[in-house]
Amino acid sequence: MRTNWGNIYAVARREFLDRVRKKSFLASTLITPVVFGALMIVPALLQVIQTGKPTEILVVDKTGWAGPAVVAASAVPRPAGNSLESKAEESAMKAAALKMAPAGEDLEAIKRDIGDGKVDGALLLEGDGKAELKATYFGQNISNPQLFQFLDSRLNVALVEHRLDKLGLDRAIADKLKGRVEVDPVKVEKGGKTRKGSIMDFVVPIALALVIYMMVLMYGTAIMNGVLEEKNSKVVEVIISAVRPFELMMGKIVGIASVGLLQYAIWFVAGAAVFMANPMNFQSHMDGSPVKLLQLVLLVLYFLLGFIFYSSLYAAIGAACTSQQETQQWQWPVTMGLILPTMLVVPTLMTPNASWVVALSLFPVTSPITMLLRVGAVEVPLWQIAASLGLLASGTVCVAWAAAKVYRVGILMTGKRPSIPEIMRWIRQ
Amino acid sequence: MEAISYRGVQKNFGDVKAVKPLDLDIPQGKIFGLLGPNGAGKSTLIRMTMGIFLPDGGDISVFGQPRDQVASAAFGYLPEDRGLYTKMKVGELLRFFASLRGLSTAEAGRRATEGLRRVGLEKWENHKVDDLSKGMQQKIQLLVAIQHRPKIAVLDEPFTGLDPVNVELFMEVLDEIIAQGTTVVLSTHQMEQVEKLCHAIALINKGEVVLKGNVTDIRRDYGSRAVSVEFADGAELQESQFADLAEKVILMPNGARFVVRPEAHAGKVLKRLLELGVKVSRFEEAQASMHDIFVQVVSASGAEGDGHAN
Repeated sequence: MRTNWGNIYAVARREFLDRVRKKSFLASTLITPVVFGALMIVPALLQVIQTGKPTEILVVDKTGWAGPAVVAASAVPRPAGNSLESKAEESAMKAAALKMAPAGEDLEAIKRDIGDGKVDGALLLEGDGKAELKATYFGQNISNPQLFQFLDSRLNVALVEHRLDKLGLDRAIADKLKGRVEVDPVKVEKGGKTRKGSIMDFVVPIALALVIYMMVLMYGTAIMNGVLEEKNSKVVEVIISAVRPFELMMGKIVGIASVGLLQYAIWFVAGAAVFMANPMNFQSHMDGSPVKLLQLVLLVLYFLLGFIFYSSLYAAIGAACTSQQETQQWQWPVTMGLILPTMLVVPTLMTPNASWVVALSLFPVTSPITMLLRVGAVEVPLWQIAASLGLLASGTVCVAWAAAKVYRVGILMTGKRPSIPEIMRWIRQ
Repeated sequence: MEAISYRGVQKNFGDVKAVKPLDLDIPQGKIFGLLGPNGAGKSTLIRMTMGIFLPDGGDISVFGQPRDQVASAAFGYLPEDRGLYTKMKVGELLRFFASLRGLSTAEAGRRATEGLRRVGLEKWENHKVDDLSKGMQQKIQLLVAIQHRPKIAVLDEPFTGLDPVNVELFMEVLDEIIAQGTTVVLSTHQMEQVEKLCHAIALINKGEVVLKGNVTDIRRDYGSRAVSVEFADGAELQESQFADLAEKVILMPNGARFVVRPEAHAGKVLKRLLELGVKVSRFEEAQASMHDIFVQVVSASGAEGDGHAN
């Protein structure tokens, strides 16, 4: 019998309405952006809260010149830059308060105070014959790299000033010498078109990859649980007598994918509205959006193919198992295919044309996430995009075909758990 | 024309021969009983009929057409393992299943309302399936199987768990759909219902048809061998006194029942009783109940598992 698209539609429609009408859909649609917002805002907020009680550092000066110079330098912001480091430094400056230790205070006593938590930290400045300045930090917490970066930079400012003074240079000239320069990233696109880079160039590809990751994981497991539920509630037998297993499986996938697309559409529209409503945002991004049209098209394509790819696997798992617990051991190898490229986000963005990254962006299991990251970072040759999509499409057809076979047999099995050779036999049959 | 014809149909699960090559014809427009102990292969045969399993060999044809060329609208199914989407509203659920059986949205809506009225659940259309009692859910399950007026409705144990009032209702509904031209295949353990409802039956044991035919014919054939006797006053009898005439003897203080050997006949039993000086007040060649026939045939062919008639 030929595939009956009406049946796929009917199953998809039921699945869609069933899920969209649930309160949990409304809840997750509202709560997810709040959680995401919180994830972005809370760290920033925490830094603001930190300024309420900054890390207090006592400077113990044995050189006679460095102490006051460092304390003074620590209060002067570095010339504003837009880079990530500048931003980090700015917040580190707010989070640290340097002051001179009372004259005659013994280092050992200060160390005891640090150990007792009365003082946060101490900066010991010494000079000996070999080096002009040697700095040691004492503290209970020495796992804050931001703080050391900040101290490093201010110590060097003080040191340069000290050297300039020793050279006897005029203050005005000395100030000119201290001017800093920072690299301004400019993105070059096809045809030599350029656009000022921003932090968004880093954030957008990651966000798109996360969209795919979350979506597939959330709704893929939803499909798996739906299949299990149908199987355990025995409703499946009546349905299977009316529609082919493949139609049922595809209907479920299409229905649940539509729920996901609707959810993302709501977020996208709401997000765009908030963005547009702020005229400042609108102006600052007039010189070129960090999201390219190609990226959006690919997002949809990779999402759809990747979703069918993974959902078929999840549906097959649901059909082959009889309980949630049983699904766990089958689930993790599938989930690894999603987690691996997500874990490799940073190296992928740093070397988007390395051969292993190219390989991952062509391989159907990892390509949805890795290729989206690459496209966000560099101009990927069209043939690679085409090959990646082609491989993913054919991989999806194969996986869906095999999954449908497992689904067909598994869905009516109860009791005994099938072994891997048994499942292979279902596929071959 | 036969509603369903099986020719050499068989199905194996691994080494287990669930259905051995089997020939069977199910006539059109009647209620056909599919009987057999648990694990006999009934459900497998039903699932092949519904297109859920493909046979390993043989052909199933429906009104002369190969099974896989017949649209799903022609079939209705009430499986033994019942299940509905419990979170759906009753009306929606019925419309969903109607659409899977090829009804248009408008027609599906009309049938749902009509069906709910017929089984007395019209007030529950907008309630969730979860809110319904077991018996009510079973009515919904019946509607799912027949609302699209299939040519063939396969009902696996439709009466289990119903109270007597609802059993009556189900029987009335079955009469109605037969009148509309539906052929019903009924699988049941309840032999009284078989006697009341079924026109013809097939008894399946160990994947084979061990008895098939018209219910009246079968009961007459087996009936001529069952004899029940009442005594005017008590009689001292031994089973062994009838060993050559009856394969089964049940002696009671004021009467007895015999299953006569095929080569003997009832008259000889009466003659023997009179010879033994028993005062017989009543002698009757009983029509065998389907229950007795079931037990007799199944134990003769050897039941698998815990097969028995309820």
